[in-house]
Order: sequence, then structure tokens, then C-alpha cells
Amino acid sequence: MTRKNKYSDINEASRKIIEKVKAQELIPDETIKKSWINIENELKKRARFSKIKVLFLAIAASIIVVFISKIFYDNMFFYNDNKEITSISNICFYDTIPQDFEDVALRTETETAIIKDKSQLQYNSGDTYKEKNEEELNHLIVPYGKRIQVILSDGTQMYVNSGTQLIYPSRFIGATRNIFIKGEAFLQVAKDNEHPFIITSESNIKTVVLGTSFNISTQKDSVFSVVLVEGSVKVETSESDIIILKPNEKYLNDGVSQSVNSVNTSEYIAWINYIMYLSGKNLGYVLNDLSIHFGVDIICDPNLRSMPTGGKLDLKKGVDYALSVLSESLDLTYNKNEKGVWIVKKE
Amino acid sequence: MKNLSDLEIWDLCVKGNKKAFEQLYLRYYELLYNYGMKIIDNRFIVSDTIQNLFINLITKYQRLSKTDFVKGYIILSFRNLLFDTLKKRDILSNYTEISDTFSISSLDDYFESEEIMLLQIKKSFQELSSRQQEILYLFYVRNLTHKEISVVLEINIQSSKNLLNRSIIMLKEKISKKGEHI
Repeated sequence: MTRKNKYSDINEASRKIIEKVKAQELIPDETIKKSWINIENELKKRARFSKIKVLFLAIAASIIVVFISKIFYDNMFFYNDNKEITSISNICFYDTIPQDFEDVALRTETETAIIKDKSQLQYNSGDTYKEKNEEELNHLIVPYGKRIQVILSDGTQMYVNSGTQLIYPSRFIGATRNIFIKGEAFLQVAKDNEHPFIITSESNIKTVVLGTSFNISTQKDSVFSVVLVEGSVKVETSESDIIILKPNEKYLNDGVSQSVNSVNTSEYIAWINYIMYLSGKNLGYVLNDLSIHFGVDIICDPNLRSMPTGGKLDLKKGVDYALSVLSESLDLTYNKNEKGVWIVKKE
Repeated sequence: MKNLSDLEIWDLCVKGNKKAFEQLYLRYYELLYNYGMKIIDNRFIVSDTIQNLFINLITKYQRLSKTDFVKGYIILSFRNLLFDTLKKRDILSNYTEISDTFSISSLDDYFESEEIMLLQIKKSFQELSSRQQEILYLFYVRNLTHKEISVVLEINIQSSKNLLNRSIIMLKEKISKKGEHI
């Protein structure tokens, strides 16, 4: 092979590499346009806060005026007998859970209660921070690294994962039982055929439940999924699309398209028992998940990110144990720096 | 808005036109996201930083000034904001580490082919320093001009040209050396 040919081969191959990289890095315009909306919302919020300060000064004491998130507009008015609006709820999701929430918290119109060292929250059992009014809205905040089990007034059981917020009434009144979710939870819904149980995600997708157990998850960038274990659910998106799920099916909506696939449900609900299935995911992805679960920062050497992992991780013993098991299986080492960031690297 | 050049869009941004900022966002999101992911492999940090960057630019538009190198300026601002964020979490402790973080961690993500030539190029590329990898990426994949690269890497134009030439020569040498075994 002459020198000239060799270099033209290199150039040709290099060109191919560059084309491949460019193709791999494409991000669809739809996704980018959707993410711009977050910026619009943040800008509106900042503008509104400065306007509200002025309003408070000008309005009489008997009226409460606070801004509310658009999605919940229709659901949060309370009417008296004359169908006049008596108050507007100020309960709505945080875009991201504020740093000052270190423990699970329960917010109502009037107060915020911190729930420390309790793994279960049950309604209808007389503790003071629940059910003050007939249908008081509760905003449950579960920060990263924490989790809690909740039993609602109708007997529905929810296992709520880290980094999740839920809004629901202390008691279910009315034709349907409505709750709102931003994050991930596994629900075992109490059967009541007269009163459908409806969960609405922050992207306004409604999951209508017909007495069953399933895992529901919303993530950033409008990713939404439901994994059905038992029973039957109906998923309605805002495009008036209705999909009915059968057991062992997973519905996924990434903000652009929807899909339904058969899955092994144990992988998706293993988190309830503090187990994480690795199933070949690469190290970078796994560390990200661990980071969310434990509520700590975990990073690794760039060259290690695509290492494949396998098997299961027991998360009950904490982040140190989980990282030690993971590192040993991959011949790596790890440590924690002064700011509490965990770093994984080659031995 | 879509037909305006970067310079024209920027002129509108400097006057506080939100639609102009939106157009800028749509044009540069892909570049910033992929570039950021090579510095820190965490999509939450990277996408949050891009959004914070634009929120800052829009709310403080009065502080912006005219520039001929819009692309370079945006990337540089993004780079700085990203490093500030990483520094806060002690992931980077000092400024010099910045040039060591760029990494296309595994070209395996991009390929299934086992052609010997491609393998050699892959391996050789990964043997280059971070700085060399970075300039090759910016020049060939993201098509930045030397003027723009000089803004992003904070070096002068001649240094940028020299660095690029050295990187290409280095890469070719390594590839040839590997090729001698055939």
C-alpha cells in the first residue's frame, strides 16, 4: 500500500466517523421546543412574583390571591352553595424539590408538617397533621434519598419513591377519586367501581384505574410511564387518545410518541423492596439512578461511563455498601470527597 | 426569525427580544447539550445549565454587548456556567482541571463496525490529550471556525490553528504506527 493510498483511506474513514458522530448527536426539534417551555415558565414565575407583591398591598384582607399552575386550574376551586368561588388553592407542584426539604413533608393550605422517621403515613387514624377539613388538599413532598408509604382514606396503598411529589385530598368526596403525581409511585388501588380512581401526571396524562396495582412514573423532559402488575388501567393523554393496559404491559410516553410493550414487571417494582436490577445498563446510567435514589452526588471517571453492569444491587444497606458491591464486581474503587460527592474510578 | 443570521439574531437579543433568544436556543441546544455531556456525563446537570444560561441571558440582557462571534460567546458562557456549577459541588477543584475533562468517553457508542482502519482511528483518537480531542471535535463535528474556537478555548487564532494542525499530525502518526503491523 503506497503512502498516498494509506492517507486517503484514513481520510475516508475519518469522514465516516465524523458523519456517524453527527448523526448520533442529533436531537429532534420537538424535544428542544418542549424544553424551551421550562424557560418560559421560569420567566413568567419571576415576573409574577414581583406583581403579586404589589397586589397584596392593594386588596382587602378577606380575599386570598395567589397564582396557581395552569394544569390544576380547573381542579382547585372550592364552591359554596351559590356556586361562587370562595377560595383558590395555592397547592401546586414545585418544579424541583427545594433543597431545604431534607425529610418527607406534608403541606396543606395552612401549614407544612415535617414527617421524620416514619415509613408510613395513614389517613383516617387520628393524627393531628392530617384531615382537618372535609376535603383538604395535601401536598406530599418526598425528597431525594427518602421514601414513604401512604395509605389514603379509601384504603389505597401507595409506595412513594425518592424525589416525588403527590397532591391528593385528605378524604375522597365526589364522583371520582383524584390524585396528582410528579415522580414515581407504586399503587395498590382499593376497589370501588362507583368511584373511578384517576391519577393525573404533570404533563396532564390521566390514568384511570379500575381496582388494581401498578407502577407510575413521571420524569423530567415529559417522560411518563405506567407499568401494570394486576388489574386494568386506562391511560388518557391530552390528545384524547385512550389506551387500555393489560397486566405485564408498560405504557411509555416520551413527550413525542407513545408505546406499549410487554415487560417483566419485577424489574420495575423492585425498588419497593430496595432492590435495583442492573440488566446490562452502563455504569454512568446506574450511578445516575443511585444518585437519585440516595439523594447524593455520584460521578465517575469519563472513560468508565459505558462499562456494562449486570445482576442486582441491594440498596437497603446504603450508598457506601451499594458502591462497594458495584466497584468490586467491576474492579474499580471509590471514595467520598469533602463536599459529600462520591467518586468512582479505576483501581 | 429563522432566516436571520446569528449576528442579526444577536442584535435583537441585545435589545431584549425574547423571540430572538428562543431562536438562539433552538439553534444551539444540540451543540451545547452534546458538548456539555462530554465534559460531565450527567444529563440533568447539563440540561439545567443550558436552561439557566438562557434564563440569565434573558433576564440580564442589558449587560450583553455586541459581538462578532455569537457561537463562540454562547459556548464560552455555557462552559463557564458549567464549571461554576461543577466547582460548587467539588467535582472540579481548580481551573486547570477544566482542560482535562473533555472526553468522548467511548467511541463504541457510535460504532458497530469492526473495520480495522476505524478501530485504529478510534484507538488513536482516544490516545490524544483532552485538548486535542476537544479541538478536533469542535472543528470537524461542530464546524466551528478558528475565530470561534479562539473565543471558546480562550487562546488566540494562531494558537488555535497550531493546535489543530498538531492534533491532526499526532492523530495521523498514531494511526500510521498502528497500521505498520498490517
